[in-house]
Amino acid sequence: MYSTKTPTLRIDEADLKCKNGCGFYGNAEWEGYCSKCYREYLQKQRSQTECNVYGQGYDLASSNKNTISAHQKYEEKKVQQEKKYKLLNISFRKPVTKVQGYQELLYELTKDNPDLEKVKTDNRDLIAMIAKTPVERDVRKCMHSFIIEILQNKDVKRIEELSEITQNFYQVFAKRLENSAKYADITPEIKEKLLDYVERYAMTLLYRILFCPPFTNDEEKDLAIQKRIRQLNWVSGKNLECRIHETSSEVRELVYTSITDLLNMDSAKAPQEKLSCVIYCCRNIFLMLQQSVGGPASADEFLPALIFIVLKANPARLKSNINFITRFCNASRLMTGEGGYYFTNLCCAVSFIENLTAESLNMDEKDFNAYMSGERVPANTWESALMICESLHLMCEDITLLDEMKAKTTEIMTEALNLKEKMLQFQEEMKSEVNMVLDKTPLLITHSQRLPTNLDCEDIESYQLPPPIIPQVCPTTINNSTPQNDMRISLIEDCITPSPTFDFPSFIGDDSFDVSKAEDETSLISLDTQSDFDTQQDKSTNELLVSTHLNLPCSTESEQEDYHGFTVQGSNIPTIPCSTGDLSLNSTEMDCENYTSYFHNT
Amino acid sequence: MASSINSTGNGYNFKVVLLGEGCVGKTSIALRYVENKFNDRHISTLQASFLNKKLTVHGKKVNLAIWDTAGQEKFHALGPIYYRMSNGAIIVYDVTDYDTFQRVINWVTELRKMLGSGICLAIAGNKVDLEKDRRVYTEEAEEFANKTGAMHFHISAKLNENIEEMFFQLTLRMIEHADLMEQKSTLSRTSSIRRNVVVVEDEAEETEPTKSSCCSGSSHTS
Ligand SMILES: Nc1nc2c(ncn2[C@@H]2O[C@H](COP(=O)(O)OP(=O)(O)O)[C@@H](O)[C@H]2O)c(=O)[nH]1
Ligand SMILES: [Mg+2]
Repeated sequence: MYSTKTPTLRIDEADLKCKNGCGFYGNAEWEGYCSKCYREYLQKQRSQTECNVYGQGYDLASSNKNTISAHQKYEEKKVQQEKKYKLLNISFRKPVTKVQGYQELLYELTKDNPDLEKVKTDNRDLIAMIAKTPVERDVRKCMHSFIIEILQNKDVKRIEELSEITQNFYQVFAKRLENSAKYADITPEIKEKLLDYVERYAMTLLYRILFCPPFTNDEEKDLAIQKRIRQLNWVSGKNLECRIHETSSEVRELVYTSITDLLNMDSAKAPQEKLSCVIYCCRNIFLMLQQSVGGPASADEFLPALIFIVLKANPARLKSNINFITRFCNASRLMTGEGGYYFTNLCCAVSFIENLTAESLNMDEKDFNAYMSGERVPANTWESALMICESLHLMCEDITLLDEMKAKTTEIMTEALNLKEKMLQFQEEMKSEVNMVLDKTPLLITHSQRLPTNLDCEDIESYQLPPPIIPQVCPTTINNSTPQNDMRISLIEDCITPSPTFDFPSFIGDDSFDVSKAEDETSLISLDTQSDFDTQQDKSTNELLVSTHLNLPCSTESEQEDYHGFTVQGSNIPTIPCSTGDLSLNSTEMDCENYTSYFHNT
Repeated sequence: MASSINSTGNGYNFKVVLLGEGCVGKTSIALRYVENKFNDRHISTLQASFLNKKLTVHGKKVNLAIWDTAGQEKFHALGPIYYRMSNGAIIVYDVTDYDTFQRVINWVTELRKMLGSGICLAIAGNKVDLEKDRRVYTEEAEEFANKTGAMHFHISAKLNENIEEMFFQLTLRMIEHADLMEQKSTLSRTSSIRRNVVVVEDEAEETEPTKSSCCSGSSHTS
């Protein structure tokens, strides 16, 4: 979580880093983990041994004894997690995010985003000042390339890497503001504002993608800390030794205000806005402490009070918010400055709450456990009131959650209905198309293909023969006179050919060949009827084949008859229906495609 | 990590944490340095836990962010959260209380383990105005400081003794270290550093690589 990394640092002091790979420093005393990971590790260990024994030896030294088995477990868990990670990575690694993909996403994120509009209106003066200058263009370009980079990498890179990209961008952009000639005549204050605006805008835009992303365990941690705080709702100011004069109504008022400020953090979007919420909260705490202490409060008083406020507020998605700020707030802001100090204290408070024991509250372990298990409840009325306050706020939160879920459900419902309609429509379309194809395809298939091709080969030569030996010019008459016999022969031939289906695709090919090369004089098809057909087709290329049939009564008739003959014959020969069934199936599919392409061609 | 060197290039931003057991005088030291007040009810700041001090050293502007920390025993485990990304740390003990010095030894050992020479350390023996009750001997304290590459100062927040000097010396060392890191990172600029550079453009060669915010690798003994 505290992973503001410096490349140089990593090279120089890699071995000092936490072995959990969080980017923070490790410590031999903490088994090579950083303080945070070690604490998490301990916590895991604790929850594994027994979740009820909260008062158990939790300090760093004593826990070393019982680590061996737990450590193994932890390692196992780590391996599992790594596996999970790999799995996730694979499933996320879509075959190169399409250009279209993130452009669309960007559009979606930008469009109708009230938060983004708010950022713009808040910075209206600044935008107006740089409007239509090279500065504006450059700022826009830098921001755009950064946003695109994040969008491109959001599924392939880990959150730490995205954070690094972001921090790098802030730095590079700051340097650019300093060094680029484009920004030469801009005052430092405006530069500061520009830097802030860019961060605010980009993070608000990317909020949906970078806040509590599904490929991290932020949400899990949120729930864990929320549960933990709920369990600790009996902890009073006295337990924490913080000096809050709860008898003063002014102090109470300030407690409520600071709780509200802290709760606001979740609804703020940009990291610096979230940070502002923390700052307001902490300032109010100091005001409150001033009332109680009678002078400027120091860290000794401040931290317990902040812990108290965090416990009473139980802010929504606390870990996600902290992580979001740590990862994506400009690191220089977090290093120094009031916000950085307060935020660090908030991290301390959360860490303290996570690792709180009976000892850290100066309590008897028995009492502590009694409170934790809910056997005993605090007597103080104001504390109870605050507890109720917390529950109320929890209820509000749940209500908003329910509302969201309801909205989502409705959306899903409408989408589902939409889909259903589309499916029905598709079915209808498919049906009609199939019917259309069925209507015209089979007629052409058998006859126009089989007989002409066979005849063709002979015909080419036969035309060159001297007139007396020209074979019968009209095969149609033969067909007409003895259609059944003829068909029988051809069908018997069919039966002999190993795969009768083969003819269909070849017909399709031929047909499209005919269409595209209708004028081709070297065409093999030179049968009278066929050529007639072709010329006719030339004339009415835009018309359906059916219409050409109508225009050619002669050929149509014969074909029609042949067709009948075919089916009639088919029922006589046991092997045929099977193959025809196959054929029609095949042909509808292929013809459908073929015809659409045909229509496109013409 | 943000650079400790100002983006304007002629100044520094340093974070200094005050560490030490409760009641050794951390808050008093910070208030004395920034507000020049001691045990004064009329202090202008709302709070005395986060203070800023601007000073000019060798013509360069330095902004010190002085972070006071909660000294209670139960908060000791939070130390690493406080001092991460710090440029300097002042570890305070009370010269009249040997236990507080024992605690200083622990702090310094931990800091060196966690941050190595990446942080400038100053050990401060406070309340030297109570010389007659001294329990921590100068030799022992100074020897330990030397051994760990830390500076050592005898101060009194009450009498405003040596406090300016301590912050000034620490600042000097932090500047020295920051410059060193800056140089190093300029030299060791590698392609891997610039791997994530978003705006690689005509001005690309002007953009400085990232550098550590930590300071003073010049530990004397280690
Ligand atoms: N005599 C003396 N007392 C001091 C000095 N510095 C601080 N104190 C006292 O020590 C007590 C603790 O000081 P404080 O600054 O609150 O310590 P912190 O807990 O480390 O912040 C206060 O009563 C101060 O008045 C000093 O230099 N000399
Ligand atoms: Mg103090």
